[in-house]
Amino acid sequence: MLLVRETQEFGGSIFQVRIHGRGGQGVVSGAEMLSVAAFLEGYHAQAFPSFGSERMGAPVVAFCRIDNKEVRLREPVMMPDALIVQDPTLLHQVDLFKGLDTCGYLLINTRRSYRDLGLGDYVKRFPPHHISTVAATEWAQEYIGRPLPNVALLGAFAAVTRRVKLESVVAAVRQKFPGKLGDDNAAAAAKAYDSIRTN
Amino acid sequence: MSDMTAEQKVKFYQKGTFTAGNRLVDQARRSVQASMERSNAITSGHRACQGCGEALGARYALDAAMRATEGRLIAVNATGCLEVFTTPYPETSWQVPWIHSLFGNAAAVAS
Amino acid sequence: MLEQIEGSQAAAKAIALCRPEVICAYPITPQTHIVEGCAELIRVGAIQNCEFINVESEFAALSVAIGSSAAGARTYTATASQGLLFMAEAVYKAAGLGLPIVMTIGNRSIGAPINIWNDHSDSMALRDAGWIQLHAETNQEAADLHIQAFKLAERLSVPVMVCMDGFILTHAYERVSIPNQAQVDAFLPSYQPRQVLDPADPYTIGAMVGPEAFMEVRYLAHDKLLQALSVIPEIQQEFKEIFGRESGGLFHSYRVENAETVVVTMGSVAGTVKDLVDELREDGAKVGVITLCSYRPFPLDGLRYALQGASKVIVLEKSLALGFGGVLASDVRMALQGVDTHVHTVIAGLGGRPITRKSLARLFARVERGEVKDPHFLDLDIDIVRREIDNQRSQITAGPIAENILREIGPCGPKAV
Repeated sequence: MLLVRETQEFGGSIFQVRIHGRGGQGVVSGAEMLSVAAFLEGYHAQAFPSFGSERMGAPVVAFCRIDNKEVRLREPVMMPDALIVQDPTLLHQVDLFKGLDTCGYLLINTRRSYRDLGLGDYVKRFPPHHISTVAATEWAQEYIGRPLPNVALLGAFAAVTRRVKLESVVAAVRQKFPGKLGDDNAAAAAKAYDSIRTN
Repeated sequence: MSDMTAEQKVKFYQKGTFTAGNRLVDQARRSVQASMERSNAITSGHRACQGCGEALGARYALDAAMRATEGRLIAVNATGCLEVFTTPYPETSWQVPWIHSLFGNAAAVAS
Repeated sequence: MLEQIEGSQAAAKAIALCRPEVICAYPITPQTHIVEGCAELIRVGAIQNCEFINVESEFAALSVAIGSSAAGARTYTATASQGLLFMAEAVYKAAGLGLPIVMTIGNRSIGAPINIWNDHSDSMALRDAGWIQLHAETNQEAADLHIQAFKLAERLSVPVMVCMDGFILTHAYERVSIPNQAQVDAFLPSYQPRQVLDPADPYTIGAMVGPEAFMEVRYLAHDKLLQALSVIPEIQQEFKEIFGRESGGLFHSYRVENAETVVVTMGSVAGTVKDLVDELREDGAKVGVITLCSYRPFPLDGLRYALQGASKVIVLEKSLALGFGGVLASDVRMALQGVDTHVHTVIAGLGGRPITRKSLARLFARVERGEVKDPHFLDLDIDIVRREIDNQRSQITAGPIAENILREIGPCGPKAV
């Protein structure tokens, strides 16, 4: 007789990330770089976008799974262990938090506080060190001269979740961006990382 | 069938100025884009980026075609940007009958 | 070397290592990244002695490939969905002429309604044209199958389609071991055409064959594909000897030993099914999964043998024969004819609808309880469908089906997120 657990429980070693943003903010390449960072540490990682005919500004979602064995699952990430929100204007338009458990991690790209974003009560259910706001767009503007928050958010991700090291994020970033651009992006990631670690 | 086909007029957002549709020139020389009665075959709400050249170009072509056919026009659209951004299900920007077929047969379908 | 890389790029690198001499392709989502990758590799000199030809359509792409292959050049192209159908006439031609062209299919559904997401309807539409059709389960296998494909195609003088799920594999980053040139050179000798257009030794290729000989010609093509049933495992073994891993072959069996229920499927969804199989096994269920790699030729005997212990077979497929039912399921039933095994048809993932563990788990439980009718459409919104059917019955000018459905569903986004 086939016994089937009807509720999905992801036990074990897998760590699932879902990144929300808008087209043009580097959501997809952020997920890809995260997977490269995990790979460089010897993990198996999978990254893919939720595909669509997007254009600049349209909501975009990308996913990354990290595990110490082969990732075979192909469905979108329904139960993220970590949620990264690259654009807070999505907050009341898209159901961003679907599937995020109260022991998960939450990172939002904003200079405002969670309370100012109307999420004060929502974040109370999380361990305080699991949630963070990151002024990623501002760091990006300062270090790379463009408001592309994805790399800074990855630095913050490393700091908050400790699932990948900052140096892996930096290596992944340098793999994608050569020369000075790589240096600048790496600095943005490091800045975001430090801003969290020192809080 | 569909009850949502009340024809939408074109909206000029820059009221009180003369900048839209070369209204600085005298009446006789203005193009059809200056007119409030301009046919609005592709209405607003499509998913193109603001200022998209294709959307603008398509509008101009349609204005001319609508004048030439006195509004009795059917549009046949090939697979491409225009088709995708004007018809994001379940909505459409088209106020004229429109059909999308394939990549390379728009002219044949129109025939 | 192990790399974290996009599936398309892994395929491009694998193709580059096979030393193609002509690459001709027309872009179409979701394969464009592959040929762009190839073009870039040629541009930087990673592929030597290769001519990249920009063509005006998919029909032109395969036509150029036919000419190139007939002239003795190792030739590669790629397409998907509408593009594959646009070159349909040439697909039959290439097979009929026995030209060992390798073509990637980034599996994508076929319109109308236009849809850019993954299902298997495109390669299924041309399953009887005489090409070998191999389906990759992972990006590693996709890269490996391209390398095996050239050898297979040239050994038999049959064109080969390597099918990769569009977006799910083509656009996913995962770890792939990219071989080195020495390994590929050891595995894949240079192309020795069986027939070639050469002024020094003229052949006539593509003569007309009348009723007096056509059946024999077709039979021989069929026989050639049946020979492939032995050659594919041989090449799988030769590949393993040089590259050190299992890749390709007729099909993969996972936890099928002592399984009472076996899922049969193709392509990337097998990964999701394997995760579910592990979960079910932990709960004591005796379930396994077979992932077909060679869809054409179809391993009737091999599958029949592999399924002999199963009392239930669930065929999970991303294809649908309108007005008939399951495509893969029918093939599986043919393999099992005369055997008393219940075969369930599950149509899933059409047009890119995600296939989730949760839905599959729920379905399998219902199959166990005998509650599932055949064919079953996974995650079908039955209410919407019933309303539309009633709508159609009550009105003559009911409007186009797709538009009505989508008006019911409302503003859309990716369904699972």
